[in-house]
Amino acid sequence: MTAIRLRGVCPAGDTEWCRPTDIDIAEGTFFVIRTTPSRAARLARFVLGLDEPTEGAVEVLGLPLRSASRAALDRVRRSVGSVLQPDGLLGTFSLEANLALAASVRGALHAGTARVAARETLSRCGLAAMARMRPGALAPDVRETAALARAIVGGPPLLVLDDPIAAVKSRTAIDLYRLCREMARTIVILTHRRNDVLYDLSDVVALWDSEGFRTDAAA
Amino acid sequence: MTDALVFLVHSVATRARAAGGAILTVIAAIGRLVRSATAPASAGWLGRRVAVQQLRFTAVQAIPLVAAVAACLGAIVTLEAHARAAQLGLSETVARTLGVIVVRDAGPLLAAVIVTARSGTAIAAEVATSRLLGETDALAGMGIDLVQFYVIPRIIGVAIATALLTVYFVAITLGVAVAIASLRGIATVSAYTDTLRGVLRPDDLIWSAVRGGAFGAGVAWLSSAGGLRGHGGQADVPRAVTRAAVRSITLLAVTTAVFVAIWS
Repeated sequence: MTAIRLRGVCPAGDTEWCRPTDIDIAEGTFFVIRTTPSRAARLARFVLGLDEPTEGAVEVLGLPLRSASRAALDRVRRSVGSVLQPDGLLGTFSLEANLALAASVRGALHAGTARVAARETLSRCGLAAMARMRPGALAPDVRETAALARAIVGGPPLLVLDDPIAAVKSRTAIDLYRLCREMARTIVILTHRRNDVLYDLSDVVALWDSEGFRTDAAA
Repeated sequence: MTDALVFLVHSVATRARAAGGAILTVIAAIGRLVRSATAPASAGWLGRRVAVQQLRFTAVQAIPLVAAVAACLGAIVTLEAHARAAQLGLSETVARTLGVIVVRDAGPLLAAVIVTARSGTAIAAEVATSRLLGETDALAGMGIDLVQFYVIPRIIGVAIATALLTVYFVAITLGVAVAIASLRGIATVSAYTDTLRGVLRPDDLIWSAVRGGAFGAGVAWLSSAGGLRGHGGQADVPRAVTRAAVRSITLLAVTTAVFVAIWS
């Protein structure tokens, strides 16, 4: 089954996107797409249904987003863990509360159970000591790790990560990507950097530039 | 002549279209609020925490400001009005008028104006900044209804806070008025309170609190929903704050005028 399917996506008024693009991402794959920050941001927003392409169709976890009801769209969103740019961690709440909210929404958990899940995920990401801190007090690499932790808490079936842990050291990044693999079935990482560590861990590496979308190119 | 007529018709049509657009926007916003309020809760316990935080910020932390404004109002009106009324032998009338105005109109209005200045602008800035920082996109991307997370908890928190502040405002204003009237020898405490008892019904204070609560709900709605508008740019933050203040104060003034016109 296909986790994400894009057909002829081509928003008008953006010359960078003028070539209609088809993308199929199978369930269970670790898929890396190297592209520009602008394309990465747009693709992530399309997949989450935050924006709608002016042309083409987007299907996520079997749901065509254009014709989806609000309730169906929200159900799909609850099944997708995401990191967008900017990360959108809630600045007035602690890391634990940020993760607990995501866990409670994804798993329909009560506050206490969601907090336990949040603490466990923070601990696995090496952030147990920072559970009570607010995002504004964190260093950039720690903040990126926290945003990734929020995306994976509760084990969503699909992860869509826009340049998630660029400031994190390679060794820690490998551990975090392995954790992603353990927590989610399908992982889509959008990046604009060449990243050999990430390429080694992934199943498919694709390049998406003005020539189009291709998985056979050396990204 | 024809040009002037065309210009007049065009102006009227343009304004009518703008007014129609504004009415449709308000109806759509009310529809969105009702739809979110009746939908299953998506923000859950964190939404309740937002409401409690808002209640604490708007009600508890605003007490010194409300007390100062209420005390000043009670002192100014008592001193100024009684000084002139005493010459005409109308001191009792001033006490009655002050009681009616403060409890029925000025109390809810001024408490809500203070809430607008202090909390409405803060809410608009906070929500618009959340949008700027990508928090709203992150929440929407998780399937959380933004109205349930940002708007409804603030409406609940601010409505309860404004109702409480209205009662507090009325009590301080009338308390200071009675104290000053007694100290200046205008009326004894018992005479002044008897006058107020004679003119006010027991349910007046309840209705005053209810009206204050409704005003607070309106201020919170305009401020938080206004903060969610825009494209998430930096200029949206000051725009949202200004819009929240202007629309809230307009709503309060117009609604109070309508209340007075209907029930006076």
